[in-house]
Amino acid sequence: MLSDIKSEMLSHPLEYYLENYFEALAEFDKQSIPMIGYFTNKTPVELLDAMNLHPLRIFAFKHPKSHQGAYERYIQTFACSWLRGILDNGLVDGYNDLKGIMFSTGTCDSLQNVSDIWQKVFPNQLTYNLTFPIQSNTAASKYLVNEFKQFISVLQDNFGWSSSFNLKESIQKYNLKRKILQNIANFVSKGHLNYASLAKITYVSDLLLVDEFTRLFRDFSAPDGKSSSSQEETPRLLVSGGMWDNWKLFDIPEWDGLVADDLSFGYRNFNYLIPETDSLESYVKSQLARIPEPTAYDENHRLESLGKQIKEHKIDGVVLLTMKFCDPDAFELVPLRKHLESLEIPYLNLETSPDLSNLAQLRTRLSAFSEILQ
Amino acid sequence: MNSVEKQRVYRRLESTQSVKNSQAMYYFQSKNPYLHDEGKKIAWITSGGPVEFLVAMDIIPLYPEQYGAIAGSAKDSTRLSQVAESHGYSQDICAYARTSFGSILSPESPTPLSEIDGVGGLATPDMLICGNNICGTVLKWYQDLARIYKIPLFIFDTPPLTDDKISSYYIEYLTTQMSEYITFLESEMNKQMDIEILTEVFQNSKHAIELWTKILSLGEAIPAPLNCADRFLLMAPVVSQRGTSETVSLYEEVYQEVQTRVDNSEGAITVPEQYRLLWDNIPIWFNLYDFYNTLAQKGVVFPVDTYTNAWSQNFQESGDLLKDAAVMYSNIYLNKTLQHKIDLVSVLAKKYQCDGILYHSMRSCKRYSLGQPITRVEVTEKTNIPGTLIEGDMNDSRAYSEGQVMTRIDALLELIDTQRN
Repeated sequence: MLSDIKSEMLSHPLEYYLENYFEALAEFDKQSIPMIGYFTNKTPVELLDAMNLHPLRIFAFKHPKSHQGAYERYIQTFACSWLRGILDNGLVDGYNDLKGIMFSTGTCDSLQNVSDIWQKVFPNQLTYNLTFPIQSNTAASKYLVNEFKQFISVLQDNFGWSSSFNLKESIQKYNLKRKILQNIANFVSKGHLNYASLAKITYVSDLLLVDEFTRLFRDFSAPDGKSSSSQEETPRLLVSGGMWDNWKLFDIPEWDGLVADDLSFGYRNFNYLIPETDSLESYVKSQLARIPEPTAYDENHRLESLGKQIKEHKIDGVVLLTMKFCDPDAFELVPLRKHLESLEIPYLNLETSPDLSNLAQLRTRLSAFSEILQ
Repeated sequence: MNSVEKQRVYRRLESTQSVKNSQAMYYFQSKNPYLHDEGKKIAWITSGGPVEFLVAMDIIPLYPEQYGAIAGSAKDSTRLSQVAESHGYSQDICAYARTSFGSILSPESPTPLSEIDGVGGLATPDMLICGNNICGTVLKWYQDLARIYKIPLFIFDTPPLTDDKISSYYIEYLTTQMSEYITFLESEMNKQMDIEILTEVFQNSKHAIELWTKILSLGEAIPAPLNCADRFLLMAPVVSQRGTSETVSLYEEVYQEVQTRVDNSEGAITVPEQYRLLWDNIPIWFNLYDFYNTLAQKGVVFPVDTYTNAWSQNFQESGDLLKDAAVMYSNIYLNKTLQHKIDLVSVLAKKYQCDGILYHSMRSCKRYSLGQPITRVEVTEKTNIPGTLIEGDMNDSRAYSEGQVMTRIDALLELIDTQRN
C-alpha cells in the first residue's frame, strides 16, 4: 500500500522508512531542516513547525547495531521496556542525526527519570524537558502557556529566530494532517482497509515533514470500496493502550477484526482539531482539552471517550494492550476492566514489549479471544 | 526470631517508646467511632502532601504509604500485595499501592492495626489528597481509591523541577492550587479555614522539621548515635503528625536523648563501629531489624540516609503563607533532578564521614530508583567513596534475595578494607 505512494523528496518507497527507521533519520537530516525528536503525543509539534524545525517521533525500533542490555549501565532492568530500547539505540548513536531531543514530562516516572539520564549520557545533544501539568483547569492553562513561551525562547537561542513564525499556519497544516488520518481511520472502521495499514500510515505521518505527508495522502482512498463478507462476520475489535509503536504487532491475521484504536499515537493523536488562530492561550486550551493520556488526572474523560468509540464502531471486544513495566498502563488496567464490565464488553489483556518477544503467545490468545466472541 | 534477639547489637533508644505510644494513640483516635459526631473527618494523603491544611481544619490525615510501612514491618505486605494482584493489579506496580489495595480488598482477614477495632487497615477515608511531588504513581493510585470509595479527590499538582531555579509562573500555579485546596476543604467541612490556626500549624511544622533536622545532624558524630532502623521508626511523626504541638514535644525529647548519646560517645550499635555507610532509598520494611542488625554485627552502621532526609526540607517565611508552602512542597527531593540527587548524596556522604554507600534499587519505586547506576558512578567520582547497588523492594519480599544482597554488601566492605590498606 505505502509502496504505491511515491515521494519526490525521498529516495525510497515509504514502507522502507518504517523498516529502516535509522537510515530514514540520516536521509531526512540531509533536508537541511533541523530535526527534533519527541517522545509523547503531548509534544507541541505545531510550535516546532512554526520555528521551522522538523518534529520527528522517536520510535523504539531496534537499531541494527544496538547491544541489547547496554542500557544497564544507566538504568535498571525494571524500567519501562520501551525506554530501555530507546536508550540502547541512543548508545550506538542511533539518534545522533536529531538536533535535539524533547521530553514532555509530568507524565510517568520512567520518562521523567530518563529525561535526566539522557542529559547525563548525551551531554552534547540539546535535551529539553517540557513539564506538563496533569490538570486542565485555568491555572494549569496559564502555567502551560508560560512553559511553552520558555520553550520557544530556548529554541530561539539554539536555532535562531524563525522570521516566518506563524502558529496559525502550522496549526492549519497539522489540522489537515489530522483530518486525513481521521478519514483513513473511517476506511478502517468500515472494513475497507486493515488496521495495520492505518498504523503504518500514522507512523509515517510522524516521520515526514507535515507538508510532505499531506501532499502524499491528501487524496488517499481505500483500494477496495466494499468490505468483504468475511470481514463482516469477524468480531469487531478495538485496541486500547498507551505509547505503542511497533506496527508489526498489527500485521498478523489474528487482528482481522481490528477496526479502531484508543492508543496514544493512534486515535488519541488525531481525533481532535485545534482552533486556527495565533493565540498561544487558545492553543494551550485545546491541548489540555484532549483525551487525557493514562498519566493524566481526568480519567473519566478517557473512559467516556472509550465508551463512545465502542458504540460508534459497534465494537464486540476490546484488547487492552499494556507494555511491560509501564506503570501508567498497569494502573489503568483495573479501572478500564471495570468500565468495560459495566458496558458488558468482553476484553482481553495483552502484555508485551516493543520487541514482541512473546508474539506467538499473543497470536494464540488473540485467536482464542476472537473465537470466543464469534 | 529468637536467634536474632539473642544476637541483638542494638542500643535501645528510650524515646522511641514515646513515638510508638504517640503513633498508637494517633491510629486509635482515627478509628474513633464518634469521630464524625465530633466534627472531624478522615483524609488519606500522600507522604509529600500539604498536611497542615488538614490539621488546621480538624481533619485527621492518614497515610497509606505509612500504612504500607507498618504492614511491611509486620511482614504482612507481601500477602496483601498478592490479594491486590488477585484483583487484577500488576505485580510491577508500587508495592505500597498493592499493600493498600490488598488491605481494602481483604477486610475479612486480619491486617496490621486490626487490634484497634478488629477490622484492620486504615480508617475509611472521607476524602483524598494527592500530591504528585513524590512520584507519578500516586496519581493513579489515588484515582483508583476515589473510584473504590466514591469520595472526592483533591490533586495538588507539582510538575517536576527541571533545574534549581523555580520560575515565578511555577510558584503561581502552585499557589493558586493552595487557594483551591482551602476552598475544597471548606466545602468538605462546611466551615471556613481559620488562617490564624493554619499559621500556628505551619509554625508547629516548621519547629518539628527543625528539630528533626537537628536530630539527623547528630548522626555526624562518631560513633553514630542513630542507625537506619532508629530513624525509620522515629520519622513517623514528622511524616504523619507534622503540624501538631505533640510532635514538637516528642522531638524535643528525642533530641535530648540522642544528644546525650553523642555527649557520652555512645553509638547506636553496641559493637565497635567499623564501617559507616549511607543508605539511599526506602528501607526493606519486611526485613528492617534483621537486615540492619545483621550488618551491625559486622560493625556496619548507617549514620545517614536520603529517605529520612527528605523530610528535612523546611519553608522560608516571606509573609505569604500560601506561597511559602507552595515553594516548600515543590522543593522535594523526589521532585528534583538527578543532578540534585547526585549532589545531595555526595554532600551527605562527606558530611557524615561515610566509608561507602548502599543504593537500594527498588523495582516498585521507579521515581526513587531509576538513575541510581549513574548516581553511584558520579558520586564515587566526586567523593572517592565507593558504593554498590542492592536489588530489593520495600514491601514485596518476593523481589528480595538476602544471599545476593549480602554478597554485594560484603564485596563493598572488602573494597573499603582494601582502600584503607
